[in-house]
Amino acid sequence: MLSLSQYCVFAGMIAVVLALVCYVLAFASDRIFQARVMVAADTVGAKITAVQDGEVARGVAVFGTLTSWLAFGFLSAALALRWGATGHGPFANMYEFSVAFAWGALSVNAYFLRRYRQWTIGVIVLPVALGMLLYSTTVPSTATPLVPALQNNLLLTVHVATAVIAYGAFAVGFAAALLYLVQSGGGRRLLPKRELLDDLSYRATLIGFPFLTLTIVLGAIWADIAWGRYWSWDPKESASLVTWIVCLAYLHARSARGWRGQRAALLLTLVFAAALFTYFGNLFFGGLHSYG
Amino acid sequence: MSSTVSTASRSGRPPRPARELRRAGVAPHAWILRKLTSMRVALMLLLVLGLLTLVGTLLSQAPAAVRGNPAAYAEWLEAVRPKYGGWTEVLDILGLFSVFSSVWFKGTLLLLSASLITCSLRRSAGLWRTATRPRMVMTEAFFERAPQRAKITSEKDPAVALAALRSAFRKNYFRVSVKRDGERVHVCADRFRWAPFGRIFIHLSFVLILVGALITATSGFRDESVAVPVGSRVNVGHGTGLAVEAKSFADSYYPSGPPRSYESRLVLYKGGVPVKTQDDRVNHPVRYDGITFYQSFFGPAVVMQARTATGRVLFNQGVALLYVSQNEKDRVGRFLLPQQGLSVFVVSPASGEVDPRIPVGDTQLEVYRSGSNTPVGIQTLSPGKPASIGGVGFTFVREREFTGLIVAQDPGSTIVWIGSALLVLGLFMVFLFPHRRVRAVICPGPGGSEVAVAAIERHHAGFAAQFERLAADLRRSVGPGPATKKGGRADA
Repeated sequence: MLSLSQYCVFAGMIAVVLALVCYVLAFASDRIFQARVMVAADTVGAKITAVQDGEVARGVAVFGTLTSWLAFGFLSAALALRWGATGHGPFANMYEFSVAFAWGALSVNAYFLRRYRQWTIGVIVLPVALGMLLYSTTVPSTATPLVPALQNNLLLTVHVATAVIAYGAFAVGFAAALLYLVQSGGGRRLLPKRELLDDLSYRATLIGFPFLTLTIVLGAIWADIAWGRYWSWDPKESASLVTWIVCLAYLHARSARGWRGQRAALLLTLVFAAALFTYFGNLFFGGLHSYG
Repeated sequence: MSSTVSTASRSGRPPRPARELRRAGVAPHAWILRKLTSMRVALMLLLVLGLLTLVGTLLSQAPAAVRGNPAAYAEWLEAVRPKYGGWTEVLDILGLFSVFSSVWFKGTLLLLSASLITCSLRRSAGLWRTATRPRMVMTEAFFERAPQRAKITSEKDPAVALAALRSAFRKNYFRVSVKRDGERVHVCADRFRWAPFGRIFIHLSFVLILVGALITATSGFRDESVAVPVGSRVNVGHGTGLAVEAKSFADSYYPSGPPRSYESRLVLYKGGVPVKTQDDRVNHPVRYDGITFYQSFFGPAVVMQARTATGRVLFNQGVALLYVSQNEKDRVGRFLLPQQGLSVFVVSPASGEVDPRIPVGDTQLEVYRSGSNTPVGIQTLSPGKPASIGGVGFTFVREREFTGLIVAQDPGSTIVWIGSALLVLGLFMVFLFPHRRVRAVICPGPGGSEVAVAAIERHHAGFAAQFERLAADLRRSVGPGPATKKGGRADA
């Protein structure tokens, strides 16, 4: 079952790459089509109204979207299989956690795809997921048995699952913020309107923030049970608190001081950077969260 | 939290810069109150808190045990000096090696709590008013200009239209209040009108968590090195009247090497009477009467016996070899014979180490008179063979293990959990059940009645679609009419 799970991770990785290729092709085809239309319009002088702006690109992008759903399916299967094989939530070492991170990013991306139908977000989210999957290939994928401190199936599953969703939401928020920032010189073809991106990034943070809060609270409960105190200023705890605080600052700056657009987008990239720092922090600083 | 700007504009006077106020001789308490309720100040405090936490994550932090002991702290500073060089002194003076107990950190937390409390208090009156006594009569301009609006022409007369409107709103889980004003009927429909109080919950939960943390830090106790040799009973102390006995200890490992479990069988005694027997494992602490026993570490112990020359037993129990000798070859334990004024050190080679002075299986005793650095006697003992040192007969009975526990009483944690629950509850209220207020006005029209529906929601673009659905529902219920005049942004 473990090797089957690993095949699913590889299949997921290939699907992510294919989805990305489709998205890149979508942009390229739009550009080519656009050029043709210009030429046609110049030579014939005809007005082309049958094909709407960006429709060709959207047609190609549908394949990318389908493939990214496929990738989500493969990773879900990989995690489920690993869960079945190890008997605990697939979050116990860096390999399992990085696959889960990729899954989190893809799942929140999938939710946004369904809800808001903006495939371009995937252009940023998919590379993030791919990065995590590539990273997972560099760490040992063997299923390690749980050391005593991790032997709490319920909290291991819920604490890390909420973290994965939170990180995934921050990745999507970051993607929207980045698409906003690249348009600072004016709107770009195919990309959603800046106001919409601003709103999408806010939506993503509204998911990420409560989940991060839950992660921290559940972590405190677990720490109280396993380590004998609810807060130890462990590097990972502190880093997650930094992420939480920056996120809090973003929410307040937005709702009370009316921060929108550029500044809000920059703050969100900071939130994502802090989330990444939290994720990788235990590799640099050791501490209680070092589980290989 | 309300910003200074909005507070000022609500009361109808232009905001004045705080500095100007101060110069103009405004009472200091007014200035402080203004600062405390200012969103800008709260945000700054939050960012300072974030930065300090970041510093605490990036810089090495002196452990709590080291901080309380100047000599140990000096030693710790020397250990980190190679890393920070000339900056060591600067960082030390600024308190950045113990950020989380520094005056900066505590001061920021204090100011932030004060800010949160003042803001919450100020805010709740307004929230209460909004929830319970909405402004009922809206101008015609409101219905013409609101970002989300719809007009419905109905053949029903106003009273029937109102009933239809009411039932349609209720079907969508809106609470309806009505006010008649001549021929016009004003309707205010609310959904989740208590949800904004989630914000107050969130802000107060933060204060609650800080209070809990303060109680944790200042009351209760936490003993991180309670070593209980198997077969022995150790007093918990701290006024608990509890004693803990270890019946057994077992550590097991996976075939590949990593630890699988640490498990002690504990018996708790209160006033000499056993009150609880339970296996103590990592992730399954033993709790009794507000005191928690965590399985934390383990190590070797030796059972020692001490008798007077007349054969009276002075000491007969396990001694945990809790310390490691300076050459790191031996494990060291200690026990006291208070009547004799003796302090006895027990030294055994650590597992896998060889100390030429102590044969394998033996243990060495170093007996000191309390307050003196010269030993009364040093002798190596074989199991079961008594030896006399300083007039006391010592017997090394056998080797055993000890189990190491963290014993803690933390009255603050309950408050932290209440605060956390309030925090999560507040977040769900605010984010999942946002307050929606939709207004309508019914006027008699040429063929029946004219209904105008409108709402303002700036923070949520998705609301436009919700409003469209609601308006369609209202239209179906109230009566036929022309197409909606769509306002505001389209749905994402």
